[in-house]
Amino acid sequence: MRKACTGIIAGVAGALLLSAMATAQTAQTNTAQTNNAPRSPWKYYPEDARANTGDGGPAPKRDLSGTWAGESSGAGVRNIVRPETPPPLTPLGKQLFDRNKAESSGVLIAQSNDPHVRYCDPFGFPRNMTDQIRSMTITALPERTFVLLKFMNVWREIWTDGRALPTNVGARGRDAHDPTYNGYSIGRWEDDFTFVVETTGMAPETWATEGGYPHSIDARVTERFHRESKNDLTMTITMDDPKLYTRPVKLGTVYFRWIPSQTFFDFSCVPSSVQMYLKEMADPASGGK
Amino acid sequence: MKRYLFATAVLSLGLLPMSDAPVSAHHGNAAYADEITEFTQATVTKFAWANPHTLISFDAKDAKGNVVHMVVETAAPQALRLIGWDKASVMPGDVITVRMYVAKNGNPAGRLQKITLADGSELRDTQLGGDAPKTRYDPFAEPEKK
Repeated sequence: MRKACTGIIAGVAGALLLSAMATAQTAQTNTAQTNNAPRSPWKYYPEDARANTGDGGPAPKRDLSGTWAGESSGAGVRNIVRPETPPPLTPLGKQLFDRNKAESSGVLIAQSNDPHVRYCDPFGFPRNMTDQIRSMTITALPERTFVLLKFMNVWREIWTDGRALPTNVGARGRDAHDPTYNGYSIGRWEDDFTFVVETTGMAPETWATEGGYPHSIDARVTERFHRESKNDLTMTITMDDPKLYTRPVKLGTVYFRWIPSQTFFDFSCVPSSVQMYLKEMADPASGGK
Repeated sequence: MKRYLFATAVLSLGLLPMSDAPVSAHHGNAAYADEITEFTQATVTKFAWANPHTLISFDAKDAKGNVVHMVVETAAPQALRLIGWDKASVMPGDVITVRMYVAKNGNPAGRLQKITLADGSELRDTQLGGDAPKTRYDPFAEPEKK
């Protein structure tokens, strides 16, 4: 009897081992097939970005230029540390927040009024630096630095010529400036590895976060891009908006990794396609019967 | 006349490790059932390779033998390309098996787990393509690195 039990256990163990080996072999075969497939310099291979482990050596001084993989790149980049919730809202801030029906707050698509979800409207800044972070390219001219976001093909312009931020965005009069989706940005090097960007004048109809938290035109957002090594870039972002929040709000910490091929894919929400998606799929699935 | 079959299955825990998906979720999944519904002999009527979500429309028979027209969403083309899909992965007229999380409200729509093509090959969703219920699919599954 004991021998029979031992035999059964050994048999089961053997079967499990063979199964595990077969699974491993299949995985190896798939990996090998992937690795042997023809490569195109025009295509992004997330497995290459994942294979690029380690810090890559010291960061170059005062240089963030290049293409970086974010949370949603498939490159295994560390997840964003999300905004604090609930942020400390003023009564006006709460009034505006309550109007926004965000999916992340438990609302289904059919009931959401997220302007991006419903119409592919631009996220606007600062949401576009914490939501759908696929990849980002940074490049610099002598007096400007550009942040290029692959999601929705957004480019932000950050002036480094010493100018001050405008103080009259949204005001009346010919000298006033209109608010924009990405606002008005200036940047400076705090040290050889930390670039600080300040922005104001963002279009108030955009959401500050995926969760529907609002911002005013006068919100002042600070980003600190810190390059820890050749391969690692971290961006922390805070917002000071006294009209809507009782104290500065931490919007998040966003992590980026260097992409060896420097190639990534474009990704835009297409308004006509999102209307098809809502009509044929999302609204029926999340609305009434 | 083609024969359509319908079955419902609750998946047990699968073997694939579930770390971060190739591309993060764009929408939540609260509208969808927690169990997978499988449609065999599903005939594709439309394949919309579109942003922000790819859609597969198909006809199949429900449990009562009635033909139903379903629409199932999956990820955006760019995300799907990273895990083996292309714009001609399925075509109208193809007969496939669809495993999906259907809408809780009973409307004929849902989110894909995976499809099985006529040649037996499988294509998965990113967001809910894992073998364990309502989990992501990551073909490069390995410990997350910074």
